[in-house]
Amino acid sequence: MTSQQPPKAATWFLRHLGCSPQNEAVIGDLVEQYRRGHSRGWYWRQVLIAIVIAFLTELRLNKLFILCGLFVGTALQFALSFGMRKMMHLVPPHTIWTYPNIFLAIDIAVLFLACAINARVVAQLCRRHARPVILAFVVLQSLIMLMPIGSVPFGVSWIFGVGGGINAVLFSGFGIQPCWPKLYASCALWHFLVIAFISAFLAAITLIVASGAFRDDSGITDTQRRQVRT
Amino acid sequence: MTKKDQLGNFELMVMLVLIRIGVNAYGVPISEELEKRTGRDVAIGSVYAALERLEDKGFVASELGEATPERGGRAKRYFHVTGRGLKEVRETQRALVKLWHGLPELEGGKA
Repeated sequence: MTSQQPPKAATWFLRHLGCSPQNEAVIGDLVEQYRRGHSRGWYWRQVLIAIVIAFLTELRLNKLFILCGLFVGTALQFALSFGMRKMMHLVPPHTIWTYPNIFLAIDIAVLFLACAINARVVAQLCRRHARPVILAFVVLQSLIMLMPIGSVPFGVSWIFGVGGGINAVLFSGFGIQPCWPKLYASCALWHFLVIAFISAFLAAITLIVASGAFRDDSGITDTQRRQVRT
Repeated sequence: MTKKDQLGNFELMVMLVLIRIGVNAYGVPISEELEKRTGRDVAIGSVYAALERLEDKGFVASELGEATPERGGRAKRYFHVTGRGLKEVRETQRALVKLWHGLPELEGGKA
């Protein structure tokens, strides 16, 4: 009977990332169709399409609200990252040079923390549309990660969040790792892409998990979900 | 009527399928009927997105049905066309027929 069970991971993704107020009905329909003989590939494809279309529908319906969420998120990200890193600069430079790896780890942890706090605050502020707002933030961060950051001055790219921060730290090293400065200038395209993808992935996971907006809400009926939305 | 309240191409197809199915119209039969009639693959996600838009416009209403084991215990959502929706379909049909009329390129099945 295992073949009658649709891919659990796909269902998990749809349940957690789906923005449609009719998410449970969509999952039910997909399960029903899958049990009528559709393939696993078909199920995965339908799940991905359902997630993307529901997200785009929410974007279209709540453009202004989501734009405000993005603005607040970016401003907060800037403030938190800036504040936290300014505090780190209080550490005497010779200490950083003595323990470079520890400070590099702290540097990245600070950026993760700023990103996590930001995601949580934005999700709480935009409670009605938390999922699309956070997903829009993830898309924005990912796009920024994939931009050639050579055009963005180092030390500024981190304002875009944890991904930008990791990029900046890895590429410029902020003078902590002697082997890293100027790496970006000479690095191959695939180096850049690998680091950009890792940064974007980590930033996305941090935002999604920390926001708390993607918890399993299958206990809530579609009708309740629609009421919250309106 | 504002532009927002007009029917899009896919929305019109969904409305026609809803009228055709009548009662018992939920996601699965709607997408199957659409695939059968249009000969195209239809994603269930796009059907729900269209239904959601139509519901926002007041052309379609829905209610929660029974949960069945073959759906993993999840309830169906049944959709039906409202009086306003039916009126809009008729108006769209009238407008399209007027536009169709007198186009020799489209008459007699010639492309």
